[in-house]
Amino acid sequence: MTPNDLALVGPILLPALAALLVILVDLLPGSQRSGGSFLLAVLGAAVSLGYTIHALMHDREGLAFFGTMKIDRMALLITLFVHASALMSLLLSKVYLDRRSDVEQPEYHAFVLTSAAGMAMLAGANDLVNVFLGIELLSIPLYLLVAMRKHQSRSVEAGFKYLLLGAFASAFMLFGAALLYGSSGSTMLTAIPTGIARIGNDTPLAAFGASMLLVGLLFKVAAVPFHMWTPDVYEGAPTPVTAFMATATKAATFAVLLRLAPTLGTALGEEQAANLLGGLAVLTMFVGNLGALQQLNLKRLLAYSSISHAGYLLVGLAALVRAHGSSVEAEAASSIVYYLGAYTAMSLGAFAVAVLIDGGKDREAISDLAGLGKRNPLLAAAMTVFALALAGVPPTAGFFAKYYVFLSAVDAGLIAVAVLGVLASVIGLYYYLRILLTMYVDEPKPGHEATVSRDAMVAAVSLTAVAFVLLLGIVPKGFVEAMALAH
Amino acid sequence: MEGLIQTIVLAPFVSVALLFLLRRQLPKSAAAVIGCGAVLVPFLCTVAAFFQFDGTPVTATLTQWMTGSVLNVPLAFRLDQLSLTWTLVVTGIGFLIHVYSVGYMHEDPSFVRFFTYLNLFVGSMLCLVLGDSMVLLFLGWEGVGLCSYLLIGFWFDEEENAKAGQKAFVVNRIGDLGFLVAMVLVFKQFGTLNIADVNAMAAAQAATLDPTLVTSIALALFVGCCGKSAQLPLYTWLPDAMAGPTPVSALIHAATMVTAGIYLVARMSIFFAMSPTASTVVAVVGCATALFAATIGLRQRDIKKVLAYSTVSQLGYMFLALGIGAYTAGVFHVITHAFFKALLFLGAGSVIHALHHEQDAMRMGGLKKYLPITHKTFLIGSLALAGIAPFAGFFSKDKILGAALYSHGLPQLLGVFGLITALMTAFYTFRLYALVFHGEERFGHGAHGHADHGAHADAGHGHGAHDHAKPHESPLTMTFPLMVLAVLAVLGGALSLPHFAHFDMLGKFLEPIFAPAYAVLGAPHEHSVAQELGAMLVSLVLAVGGAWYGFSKFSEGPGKQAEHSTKGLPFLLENKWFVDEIYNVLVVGPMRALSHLAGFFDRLVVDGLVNGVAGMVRSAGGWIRMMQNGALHTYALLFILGAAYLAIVLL
Amino acid sequence: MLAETATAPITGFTPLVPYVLVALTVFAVLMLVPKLLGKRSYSKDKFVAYECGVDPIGSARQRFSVHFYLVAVLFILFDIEAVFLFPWAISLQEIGSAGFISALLFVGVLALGLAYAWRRGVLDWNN
Repeated sequence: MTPNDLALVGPILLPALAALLVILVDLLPGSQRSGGSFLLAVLGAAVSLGYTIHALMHDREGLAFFGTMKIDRMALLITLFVHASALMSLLLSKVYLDRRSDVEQPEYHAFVLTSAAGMAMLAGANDLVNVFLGIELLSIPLYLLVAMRKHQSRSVEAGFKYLLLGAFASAFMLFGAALLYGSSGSTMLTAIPTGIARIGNDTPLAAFGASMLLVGLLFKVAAVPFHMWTPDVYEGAPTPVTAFMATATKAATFAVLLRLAPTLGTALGEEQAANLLGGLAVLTMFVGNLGALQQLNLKRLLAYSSISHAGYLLVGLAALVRAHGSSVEAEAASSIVYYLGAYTAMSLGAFAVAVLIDGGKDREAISDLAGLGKRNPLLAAAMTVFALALAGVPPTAGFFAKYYVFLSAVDAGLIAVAVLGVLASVIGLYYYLRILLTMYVDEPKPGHEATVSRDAMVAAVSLTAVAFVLLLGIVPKGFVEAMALAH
Repeated sequence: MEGLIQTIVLAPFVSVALLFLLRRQLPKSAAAVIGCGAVLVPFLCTVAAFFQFDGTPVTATLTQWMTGSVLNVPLAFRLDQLSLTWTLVVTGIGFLIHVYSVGYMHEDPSFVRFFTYLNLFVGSMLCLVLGDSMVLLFLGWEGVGLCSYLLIGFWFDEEENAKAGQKAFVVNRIGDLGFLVAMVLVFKQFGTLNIADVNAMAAAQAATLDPTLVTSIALALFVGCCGKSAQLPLYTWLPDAMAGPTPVSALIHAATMVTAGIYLVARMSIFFAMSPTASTVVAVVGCATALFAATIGLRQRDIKKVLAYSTVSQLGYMFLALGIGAYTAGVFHVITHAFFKALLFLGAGSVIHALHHEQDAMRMGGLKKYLPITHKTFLIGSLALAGIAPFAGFFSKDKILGAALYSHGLPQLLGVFGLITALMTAFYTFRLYALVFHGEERFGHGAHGHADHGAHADAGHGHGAHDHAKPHESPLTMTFPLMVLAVLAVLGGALSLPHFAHFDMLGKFLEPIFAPAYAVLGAPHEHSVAQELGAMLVSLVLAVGGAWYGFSKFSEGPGKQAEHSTKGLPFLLENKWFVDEIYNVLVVGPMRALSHLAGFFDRLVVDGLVNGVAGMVRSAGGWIRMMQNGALHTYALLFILGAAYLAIVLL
Repeated sequence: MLAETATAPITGFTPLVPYVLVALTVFAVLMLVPKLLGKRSYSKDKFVAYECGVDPIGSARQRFSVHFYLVAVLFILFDIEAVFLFPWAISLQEIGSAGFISALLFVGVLALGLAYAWRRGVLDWNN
């Protein structure tokens, strides 16, 4: 452990430190109701974000802790998304929590920061042990955050389900990690493929291990058929938590999947692994989009939308595995990172709108949006941008995200997957447009108009999200270059 | 230089964003400053760019917009002689009309919305003119179309206005189809949509390119131009478009947007030069439109309708010029026409403003003493439109007619028709001038004419129909642009004097643009001084004669024309040859029948199919929802099954 | 530093077979042996819940305070801490001051957690 190591993993240490400070300050007498924990947490998240941006701009990259952490460009970019998401989610939570008395705020803030630390760790993890540590560090606070509203059965039920299935997934992961170690002789992600290759082609043990590890990770990103928890948990969790876990967890877990791609390719065979991931991607895209069609609850709809986006991301992963060793590999990796950035912005934005119209009633019916176009045109316009982006309509970030992912799939030869993906997004168009229709055409039912709260912080979050969604869509080139990974 | 170009394009859009976001907060004065400033800044930048311009085209890239393995479309803008010319016209005249609008729209409740649209229009037009690829050009093309549609229907609570907007929209879609086809053909042949590259490649491969393909591209482009620039048979939307506020008519439907078709043909002139068939079509359609619209103009009563048909007619002249290979003359006429037609429209607006939305020229007369500035400037505009020396219109029209008359074969015949058109133009221009400004005062008594559609017809004037005060001159914000434009309409001809004067700034300036086209066509024919003088004399005599006849016949009043005629040619002319009605019977009727049939088919077959698919999709959704039963053990079971499936597949 | 130098990786499934067999055997043996060897006597007292030899009062299926769980969780936490600190104490010579500081931080974080729980009233048995 050298000072350089510590500097490299700053984006992990800082939020953890901030979480400790939040708890420490809360211990001080008289600090209970002052809201200090909120300010401290926001400051912590902002500093972490700033540190990450600084590291990105100055190329502070390298190996740390004997190579078990690999802080490279990809890790920093994903960490950037994670910390941005944490910061935004904290800003969203203020108005949400102030309307509800059943949540311990300091704990809430500390958990968000701890989870962010876990995600940042996951993004840089280069060793199976650290992967597992990161997964647990991000998951355990999330279980608690989901169940944070301990007097509301929906929330507790969601937390319980997430905990049980999460433990389940962790068991699979550990099993897979053990088998991978056994079959390759190393826990280092970069060394595993060579370890497996040393043994030869017939490596069923490695294949089995890799797929079990994959199962655990697919659970975290809500890919079919490991997605069943998603709608219930997303609906039950406090909305800012949903926003955080939908975006940041996906980003962090995909970082591991990106690092694991060579292992998957070696252990399962590149062709087979790509087909497997492509198949899962198609399944995920269709289940997500079809499931969303009949939803009446906005959060549940966004949960299914989140599942479908996991599918689009898996398309990119399939392309990445398939194109191993060619120039398309870097293209696919960049497309995934770009997608994660775009998804973080547009999904956070949509959840921010959900927070704004919630009114403390815990009723997120889509029909409550009716007439929003007239009552609050700006908010409706923001929601329009997010819905169009999530649907993948140009010129928004969502369009280019899908475009690049599908393009890399085509370049990698996975044409059927790309075609099916486009088909699935056409289905998706329907329910996103329904949101717009509800906002602009439907007449509100008396007594069920969404009450829009005026909150500067949430408005700032939505505005930032709108700006990024449009910026990424109108001038994608610069961002693509920023996210280009030398693979 | 790149910075200038970027400023030119971005300024209007920035203003649109500002005006849109702050539409509630901004006071009218601030909105006016922002709106006008957003056109003044690009104009000044264009002037600066003009003086820095050294003859080599400059490309400013904002960003790579779309990148891919097949199609690369950078967001880039290219300033060359042609786009510089157009940009000067668009921003210069655009600024004057913005200033005018401040006065004209002053009392309209949708003042800020008006400036938002107007700036959006200028931005789109600049995108059209400066875009370096066909994609950007098309984007601007659609953008100006959208703004035109929005501004025609600006007072959308009037049904007629909304209908006129729709008509413009539908007719332009037909044209756009042509443009799109051309784009696909070009991309298929050349593999790029960068205009400069396409032109260069076309010029280089002139000998080997398939002539059918070239003709197809040129004709498809021209179909697009017919829609946008209101040529036969797609011109019908333009006269109806006068339902919009008058500054809009001046800016969009006279000076700038409708010349986009001419711009496109000039821009892609190499394709037309390589295809004699396409050129002939352009020339014939242009000439026919010029003549046809002029005949309708002879008997119109509505002041704006006369100007609208004259615009269609003058656009026909420009296409005639392009079709016979007199490219510079065509562009020259675009410029002078922009000066005097904007002037005439704004003058008409001033009249309408003064008479509280009266548009029927039969109910005007004698306005000379009430509106002195409007009168003088309108007279200058009329002289220019009629083609009387030494006003701007004379020189540009003469260039076109001269080029046509001294060629051989068909163009010569077209030139003769052009002369007849010139005669009619002079006649109806001075008929209008006389009816409006001379003779007895026929306004202000009795009920208002049909042009007054209640709450707000044209002119956002609050005080409506109850007013009996004398007409009064418009405020300075409105008369100032009139005066500037009048000066331009007087001096504009100096840009390109006849050949013997050895002073052809515009021709020299535009030479590099049309050099490839002339390389294919052969250098333009040089006329002797006698020939030029002869043509000038003929057209001048015709113009003066027509103008004098028109003026003397109507200077006392409309005479018999005050009544609607019921038979014969006048009846046909007054009803615009019944083209709208014919279209209704021939096109709209069958279309409606077809759409009923299609609707039937749609319900029976397509709906069945779609509903079937939708039903399947929905039931799949329902199935997924059923699985989601909330029971944890179901979830865990599926999890295990999934993992087991993975394991089985892999082993 | 879970080394890349680790020895002979496992190949194929063969090594798994003994593992699975052993697991199954242990499971089966543990279940079967008492069944086979155990003496069985069924009496009424046999089915009474064991409460430290005292006769039970009422049902054993009562709800009881969540405090039990909290204390148990805290206990496990410090249990694990102790487990961690044993190897640390043994290898203290080798890992030097960096190791020492790390462990201090570790204990400190745990102590902070305990303090927080305390302040939140977890150990307060009265409410």
